[in-house]
Amino acid sequence: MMPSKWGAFRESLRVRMLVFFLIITLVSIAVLSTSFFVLTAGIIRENSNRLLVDLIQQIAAEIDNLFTNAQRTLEMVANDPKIQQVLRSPYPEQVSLRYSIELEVDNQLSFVHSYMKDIFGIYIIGANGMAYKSNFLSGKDGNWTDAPWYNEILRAAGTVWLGPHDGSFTVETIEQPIITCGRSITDKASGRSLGVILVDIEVETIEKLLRGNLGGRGYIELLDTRGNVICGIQRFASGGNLEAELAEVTKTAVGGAVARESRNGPYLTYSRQLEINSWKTIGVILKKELNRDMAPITKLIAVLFTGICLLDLLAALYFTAKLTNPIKKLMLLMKRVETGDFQVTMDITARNEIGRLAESFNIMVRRLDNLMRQLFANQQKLRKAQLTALQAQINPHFLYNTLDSVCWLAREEKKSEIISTVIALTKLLRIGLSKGDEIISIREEVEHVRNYLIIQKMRYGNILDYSIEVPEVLKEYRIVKLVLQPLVENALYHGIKNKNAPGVIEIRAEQYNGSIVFRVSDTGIGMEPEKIRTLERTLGDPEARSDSFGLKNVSDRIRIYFGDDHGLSFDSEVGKGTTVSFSIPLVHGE
Amino acid sequence: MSIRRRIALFLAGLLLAGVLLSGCERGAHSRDAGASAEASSRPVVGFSQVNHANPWRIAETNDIRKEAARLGYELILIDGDSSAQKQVKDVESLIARRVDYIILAPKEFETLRPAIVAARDAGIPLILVDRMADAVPGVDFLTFIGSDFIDEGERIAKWLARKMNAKARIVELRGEKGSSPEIDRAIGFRNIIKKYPGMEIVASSYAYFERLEGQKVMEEIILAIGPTFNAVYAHNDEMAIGAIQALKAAGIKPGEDVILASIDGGKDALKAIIAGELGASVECAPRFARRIFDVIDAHRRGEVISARIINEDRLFDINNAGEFIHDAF
Repeated sequence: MMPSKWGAFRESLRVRMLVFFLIITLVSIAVLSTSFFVLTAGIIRENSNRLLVDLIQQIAAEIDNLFTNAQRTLEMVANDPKIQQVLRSPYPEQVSLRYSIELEVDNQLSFVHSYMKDIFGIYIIGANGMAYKSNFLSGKDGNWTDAPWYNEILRAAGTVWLGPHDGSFTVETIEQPIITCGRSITDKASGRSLGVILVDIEVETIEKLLRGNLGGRGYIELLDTRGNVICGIQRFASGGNLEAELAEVTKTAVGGAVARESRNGPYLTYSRQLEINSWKTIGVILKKELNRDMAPITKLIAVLFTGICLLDLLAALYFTAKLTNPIKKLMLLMKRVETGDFQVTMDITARNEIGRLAESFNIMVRRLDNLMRQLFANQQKLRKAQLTALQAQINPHFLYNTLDSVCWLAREEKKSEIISTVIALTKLLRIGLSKGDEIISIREEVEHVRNYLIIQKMRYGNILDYSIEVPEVLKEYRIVKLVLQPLVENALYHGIKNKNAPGVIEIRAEQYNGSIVFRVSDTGIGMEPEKIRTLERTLGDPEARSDSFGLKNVSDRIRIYFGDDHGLSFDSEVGKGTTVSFSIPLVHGE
Repeated sequence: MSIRRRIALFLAGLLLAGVLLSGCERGAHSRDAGASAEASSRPVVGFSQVNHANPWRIAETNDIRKEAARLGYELILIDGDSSAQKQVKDVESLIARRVDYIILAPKEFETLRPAIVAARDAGIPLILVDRMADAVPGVDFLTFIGSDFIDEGERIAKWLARKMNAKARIVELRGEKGSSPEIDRAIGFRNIIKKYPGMEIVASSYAYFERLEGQKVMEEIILAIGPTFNAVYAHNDEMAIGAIQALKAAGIKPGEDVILASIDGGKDALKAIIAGELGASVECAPRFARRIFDVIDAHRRGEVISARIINEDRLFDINNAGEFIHDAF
């Protein structure tokens, strides 16, 4: 039956212990892991917050530095006396002189440039029509004084920053994106404009400052004052319209890092304005990218959790097995004992409770074994005693005497006596056999002894008289059969017959303290105290053989049935008579 | 949704993300890449350029770009940042992207050999431009297109001999040490002057094809040997222009006290010629993209390609500099 089997399984000590252990440890580990995870996640979030702010500040400082250098270069070159003089002088009509000066000034600019690694080029466009460059790239042809950027710079009071454009305004390039800052050059002598000076910075130079600093978790962009992206490292495949969102964020997110929601999920952002030209560096870390940082920790926790769980399970299995296996073994042995095998031994030597239990079990089983052996021996003895009692009852001598008496009665034609004697004999034999039952009612036992006395009275009528006094209330209690008759026989043959004078045999029963006491007394010859002691010793020793065979048989059977304290006791006085008494517990019929 | 379908969908997502990410990365590194090479049916040409630090290289690159666009080729341009090692990697990345042709302007003769061998083994035809490298034309790579540097050296030497009446004490400013123009321009020059006992190289130093370096080296030579020379041979214009500034600073008049001759024929050189400071410059034409794409077209048609294609170079001096200045690179 499945349900009960499952129930038994659930109830099993081992399963209960297992479940208990596992729940306790798993819950503790789960609580521990979760708190660890939450704490670590907090630290990582906090760190990335700080990292973002630090990084953006640092990058803003670097870009500021780069731009400041460019601006200083502008000022330095614009105020250089030699440059001032060159720009002040009129356009040389002689082409050879023009080129000679141009190459010379180019060279001077390139020296200045050689100390500014991150600058792409320095250019001067003179109002006098001359143009100079610091790099040795080929100058573009054309009249720049008409270009919008030239006039924007010329009219501005200070430095002008121009956003990314493809290629330099002034020299041949491979059209890479470049940002330019420029200012007008004022004649230190007259205050009129001598032209403009420009510095080109490759966008790639700025990109190098931005690149890779966030380790792929986010990206950094440089935006101009109108929020246009000057350069940025777009690292997300999911980029989408993030830039538009950022433009929105930049308006508000200045100061500490700000957490925002976007179509791409929540993100952290921080922006910082450049000191030099109000452009902004802005950094973005997508939170889902941060979760990537958590991945190794999550994995570690998962592995640890699984590992500990497995270890825990194994340990629990091992310990509960170690604990319950001896109990299971004990159970199996107990089952064998139940089926009657007393040869089992539990070989557990552990010096703990289980060991002690095993020890007690072994002792118990050994005792049981002894008990069973004893019981078996008693049973055998009893059967033998029963048989002997039966044999004693119908011994040929008694039968011969009885039949002899009947014979004499027949000769004297005492018809009624013959009938009563034969009836008594018949009853005697019937009760004696009593269908093999060993226990009979007191009524039957008394009937049996009465019939015996009827027969003996027929033979020894001249010397024997008897009385039987058994209260009617006791007659339904049980007694071992054929105990009274041997006592009466003993009283007749050893007591009265030896006295050579008429005697009386009395059989009495009475209830006393929850038992029934039987007394068989005679007024016979009596016994000396010495004889009584010998007799009692003989009866007390189960192995002893005795002349008083009938008495011993009765004593043994009473003891086997009712215990050792239910023996025969004797009370006798020489010449006066003997009383043999015994008691049996009150035992009801079926 | 079944587990199997979920897994398939997840894998597809990963794949898509990978493609997008790799696309982004490519975009960041090479501006000329445009749409990814795999997505286009146009023939893809990869160009590994040494750098874009001088006008010659910029002119070459812009010419190749223009020609590629005109003929409908997709061009992937990679700047080697003046590093031969980076160029090896650049070529390897072009091979990895399975471009149809590779144009390589090698920075150095020996270092680039592994890149050429790798392209050969990958079965991608490679065209070497400007400079030679340590490999066999027509075997290890398709062909070499460029100037004959020995011829350039010989021509400028002949000009100088004529100009100096076969008598000159010459300072030589050499190009990037170990590069094929440096080696060959030195050889070509010597091939001629050894015929003239009056012509002698009194000093020879490396200035790495750079203007400021040329100026610095010239200053050192002036300090070392004094004004004991009357001619300067620079392996390129930049070093010559630098040397002119050094001479002027030392009070030596270029074009009068000292005659300078160089190679390349760039715009600034022509200006210097017009200024009377540089004597002559033998052209080393940077704009030969048409020839490169002619070779590619011929190769695609299955025609036999000659293993070496040599550009025709002009000589600029005071007589024609003004005429060509607006064409010069």
